[in-house]
Amino acid sequence: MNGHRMTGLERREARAAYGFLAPALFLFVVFVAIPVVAAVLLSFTRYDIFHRPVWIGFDNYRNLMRDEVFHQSLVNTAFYAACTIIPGMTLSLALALILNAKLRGITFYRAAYYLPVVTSLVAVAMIWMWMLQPTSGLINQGLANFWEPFVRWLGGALNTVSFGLIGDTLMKYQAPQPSWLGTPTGIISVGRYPLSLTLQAIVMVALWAGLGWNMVIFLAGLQGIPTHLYESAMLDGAGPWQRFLNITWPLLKPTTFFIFVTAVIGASQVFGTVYVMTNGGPNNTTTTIVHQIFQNAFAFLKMGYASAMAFVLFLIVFAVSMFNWIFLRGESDYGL
Amino acid sequence: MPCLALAVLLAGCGRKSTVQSIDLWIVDWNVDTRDLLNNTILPDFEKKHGVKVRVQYLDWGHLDEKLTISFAGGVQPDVFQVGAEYVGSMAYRGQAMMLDEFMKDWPQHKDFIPAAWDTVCTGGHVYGVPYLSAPRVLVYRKDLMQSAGLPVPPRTWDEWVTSGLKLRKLNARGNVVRTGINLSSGANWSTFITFLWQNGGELLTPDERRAAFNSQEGVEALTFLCDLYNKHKVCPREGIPSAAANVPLFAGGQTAQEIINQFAIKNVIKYAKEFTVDDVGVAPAPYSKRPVVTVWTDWLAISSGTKKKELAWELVKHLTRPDNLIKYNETQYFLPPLRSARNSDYVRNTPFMTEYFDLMDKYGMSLPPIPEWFEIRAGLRNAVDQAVYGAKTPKQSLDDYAKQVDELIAQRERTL
Amino acid sequence: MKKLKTALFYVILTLGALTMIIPFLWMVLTSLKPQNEIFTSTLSLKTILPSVWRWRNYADAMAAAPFGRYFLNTAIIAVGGTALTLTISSMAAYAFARLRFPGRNALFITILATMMVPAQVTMIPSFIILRHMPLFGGNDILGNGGHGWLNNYLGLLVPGAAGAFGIFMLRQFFQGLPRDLEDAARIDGATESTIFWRIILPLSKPALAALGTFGFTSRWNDFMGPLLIMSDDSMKTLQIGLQVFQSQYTTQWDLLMAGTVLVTIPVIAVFLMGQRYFVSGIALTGVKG
Repeated sequence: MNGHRMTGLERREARAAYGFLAPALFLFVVFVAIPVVAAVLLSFTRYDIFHRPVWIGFDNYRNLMRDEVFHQSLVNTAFYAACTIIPGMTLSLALALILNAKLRGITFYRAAYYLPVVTSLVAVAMIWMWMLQPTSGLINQGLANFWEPFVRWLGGALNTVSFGLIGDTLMKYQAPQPSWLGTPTGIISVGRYPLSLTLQAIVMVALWAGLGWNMVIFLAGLQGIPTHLYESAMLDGAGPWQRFLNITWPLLKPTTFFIFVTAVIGASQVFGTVYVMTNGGPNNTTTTIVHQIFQNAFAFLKMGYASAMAFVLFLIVFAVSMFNWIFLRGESDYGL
Repeated sequence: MPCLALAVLLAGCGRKSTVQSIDLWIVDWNVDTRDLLNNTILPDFEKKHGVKVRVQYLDWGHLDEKLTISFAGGVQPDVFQVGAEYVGSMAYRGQAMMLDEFMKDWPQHKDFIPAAWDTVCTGGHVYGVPYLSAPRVLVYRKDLMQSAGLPVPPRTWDEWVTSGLKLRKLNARGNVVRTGINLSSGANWSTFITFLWQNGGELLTPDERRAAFNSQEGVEALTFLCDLYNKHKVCPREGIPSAAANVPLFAGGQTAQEIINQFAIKNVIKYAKEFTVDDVGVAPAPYSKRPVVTVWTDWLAISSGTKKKELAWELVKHLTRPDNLIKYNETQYFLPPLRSARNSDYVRNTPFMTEYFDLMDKYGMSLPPIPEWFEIRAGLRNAVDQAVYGAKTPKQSLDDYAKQVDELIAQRERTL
Repeated sequence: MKKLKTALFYVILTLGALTMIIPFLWMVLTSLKPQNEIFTSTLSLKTILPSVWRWRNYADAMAAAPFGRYFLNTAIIAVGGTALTLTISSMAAYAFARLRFPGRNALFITILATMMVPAQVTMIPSFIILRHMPLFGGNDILGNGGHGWLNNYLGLLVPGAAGAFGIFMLRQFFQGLPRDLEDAARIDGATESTIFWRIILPLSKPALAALGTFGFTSRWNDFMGPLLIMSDDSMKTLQIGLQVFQSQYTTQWDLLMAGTVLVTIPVIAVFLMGQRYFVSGIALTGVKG
C-alpha cells in the first residue's frame, strides 16, 4: 500500500477493521507479544531467575550446536512430527468425510472418536501407561491371551492341509511381550540416535488422542461447502472420488492449511504425554524439544538457554509453515 | 453476553483479609498427612501466634515449575518443603535463607542425624531443617537365602553376585519370574553413586571444582554395575515389570533383594502374599571397601525474600518439633531424622524402623551440595546408561562426562 | 453386494470407535471396582468386570475434597473464558478475513508466528505481567505491592482470550464463506458491524461451535494454569482437586478414576450439544441464481 493514498471507502474499511481488531490486539500485545519479545531477548543472556540476566550474545546458540541431548530431542521430535502430522491429518479427513453423513447413530460415532480429546491429558497418559504395562497391561495381555492362541490355532489348521513346516512353526508361536515404555532401542536409528520402541509407542498414543480434534475441525470446514455444487456434479455424472478431488479438496484448502500449521505447531511442541509417561526416557529416546526446554528452564534454571532452544524451534516451525504456504497456495480463490 | 462478562469481572475482584498470613508449601503428603496438618498441627500454630497458615499441597512433578515461576514473580511462599537434592542450587541462588543466626538458640539442631543434617548445609551455613528421611539399605529375603545355603546377608560384591544368580527363578517359558537382585533401571545413576562411594570414590574433587567420578574407583564401580547387568545378568536391563501396579517388585515376591528405602517394608506388610515381614532382613548394601547407606531427606526452607522471617522460623520450629515431626513422619512411613526419635513409639514399634535408623546413623551419606546438581544428575544418568547399554565403555563414558562437568562448573565462575 | 459393503463399512467404523472408547470404558469399570481388583495380572472376562459394583466410590471421591467449590470455579473459568474468546477472536478474524487495511498480512503472520513459541519460555514474563496488573489485588497504579490478577479468575480468563488459534481458525472459515450475501448487504449500505453480527456469525455456527467446544475442553482440563495462578484452596479447579488421590507413593486408582469420570462428563455434554452445529448446513436460501 506504499505510495497510495487511501480513498474514503478504503479509510472507512480500515477504521472498521481497527475497531474489530482492537480488543484482540490489546490483549495480544500485553499477554503474548511482550512475553515473546522478553523470551527472545533472554535467549541472548545467562539467566537463572535469582541473578540478574547477563548478556552473553550468541553463546547459548553456540552451545546448542554441541548439545547432544538437544540434538537427540530434535531427532525425536522430527520423527514424532513425521509420524503424526500427515497420517493423522489423512485419517482425520477420512473420518470427517465419513461422519459427515446424516445416518442413524452417527452421533455416537462422532462422540466416540472425540472422546480421547475430551479426556484430560493426564487421564489419557495414565490410561495408556496401564494399557502398555508389560505384564498386566491390556495390549500385552491381548497379545498373549488372544493373538498367540489364534496364531497357534492357525498353525494347527495349516498343518492339516500343508506339509506342516509352516504350521509347526506357527504352533510354537510366542507372542512378544515388549516393555513398551521401557525400551531404549529400536529397529531404526538416525545417526547414533535410536528411534526406540518407546518413542513409537508414544507416537501411537498421540495419533489415537489427536484424531478427534482434527476430525471436528474438518467437519466444521466441510459445512462451508455449498451442497448444490455436489448436486450439479452428480448430475454431470461425477463419481465420489472425482467429487472429492474437484470440489471438496480445493474448497477445503483454507481448513487444511489451518490444520497443517496447527498440527506442525502441536507436534513440534509435544510435551505433556512425554512428561507423564516416560519423562524423556529411557536413555533420552523420548525427550522432545519442549521437554528439554522445560528441564533447562525449571530444573536446571537456565532460562536463557531454554529461550534459545525455543527460538530455534520457532525458526524451524516458521520455515516449515511458510514453505507450506508458498508452495501449496494453489489456485483456489480462497487464498491462504 | 455482556452481562456474563460483567458478572465474571465482578466475581474476580480479590478478597482482602486482615489477619496476617503465612504461606506454606508441602510436597510429600497423602490424605492422612493433609488431615494431620490441617486438623492438628497447623491450627495449633495458628492459635498460638494468632495468624493464618495458607498451606498448598503440591506434587513433585510440578514443584519446580511452580516454585521457579513464583519466585520469579515475587510471590514465593514463606516456608516450603523441598527434596534432598536442592540445597546446592538454593544456597547458590540465595533462594533459601541462611538460618545460622537461629541455631544458637535452638539446641535441637544438634540432635539431627548427621547424614540428614548434611542435606541442609553447604559452604559452612545452614539453609533449612531436615523433615523426612528415607535411607536406602539392602532389603533381602532371609528365607530364600537360608534355604539356598547362602551367607545371610551377602557382604561383598562377589557374594552379592553369587546370591543374585542363585536366587533367580525362571518360569516354564524361560522368562524371569523372580530376579535375584533388583536394580531399578530408571535409577542406575543412584546405584552407581552408591557403588562409587562404597569403593572409596567421590563425585567431585574436595574443592568441588572438578569431577572425580572418573577416577579408578569410579571406573571400577561403573564396571561392576555394567557387569551385574551384562556379564552376570542378574537383572534385565529394562527391569522386570511388576505383576500388578501398586505392588512393588519386592513385596510381590518378584525379586529377592533390593537396595531400597523403608517403604519396601511398608509395602511388604501391605501387599506381600508369599511371605511375611519376618522373612525379611535389612543390612548395608554389599560393598567393596566400606559400607554406604545413601540418605534422601526432605527438608523445610524459608525463602530469602520473605517479609515474615521470625514468624517463618517459628513455623519451621513448630513443624519440626519432635512430637510433631514424629507424628508427621508416621503418616507416611518416613524416618524422623532426629536421634532422640529412636526411642519413640513409632520407631520402636514399626518393623525394621530401628534397623534403618541405626544404619542411617552409622553409615549414612547424602549427596554433596552442588549448585548445578540437577543438570549434572541428568548428564550422569545419561553417561551411566550409555555404559550399561554398551554404547561406550565405562571409562570412556565417565571420562567424557567428567570433561563436561568440569566445563559446567567453570561456567559458574563466569556468571558472578 | 452393496449391503455387504455397507456392513463391512460399519464394522470397520465400529472397531475404530471401540479403540477410542475402550480406555474410557476401562476408566469407568475401574471406578466401580474395589481397590484390590484393579490391575490384576490376568485378563479374563471375569476380571474385566467388578465383582461388586461399588457405586460408593463416587460418593467417596466427591467427599475427599471440596469438589463443589472446585466445580464452580472451573465452570466460571471455562464458560467465561470461552465466551470471551469467541467474541474477541471472531471480531479479529473477521477483520483479517474480509476487511482490508494496511499491514494486514504482516500482522496476521506475526500473530501466527507467536503460536510457534512454546509457552514454557513465556510463562515467567506473563506471570510477572499478571502479578503487576495495576489497581488489582492490592496493586497501586504502577502495579506494585499486591498480587494483581493472581489468585483471581481474571488471571485465567483474560490472557487466553486473544489466542491466536481462535483467530486463525475463524479467519480460515470466514474466508471460505461465499461473499454473495455480504456484497449484497454492502451495496445496500449496511455497516461492517451489521454484516458481522447479522450475516457472518449466523453462517459460522459450525466453526463457532467447534471453537467453543475446544475452548471449553481445554480450559476445563487445564492443570498448569490454575496451579500457577491460584493459591487459595477456595479458588482451585477440578483438575487440581483430583490430585488428592495421588501421592508420591500410592495412587487411589478407584477414587481417582471415579473423580476423573465425573470431571469428564461436563465436557462430553458440551460436545454433544455442540456437535449438532458442526454438521448444520449453511442456509443458502436466496443465493442460487
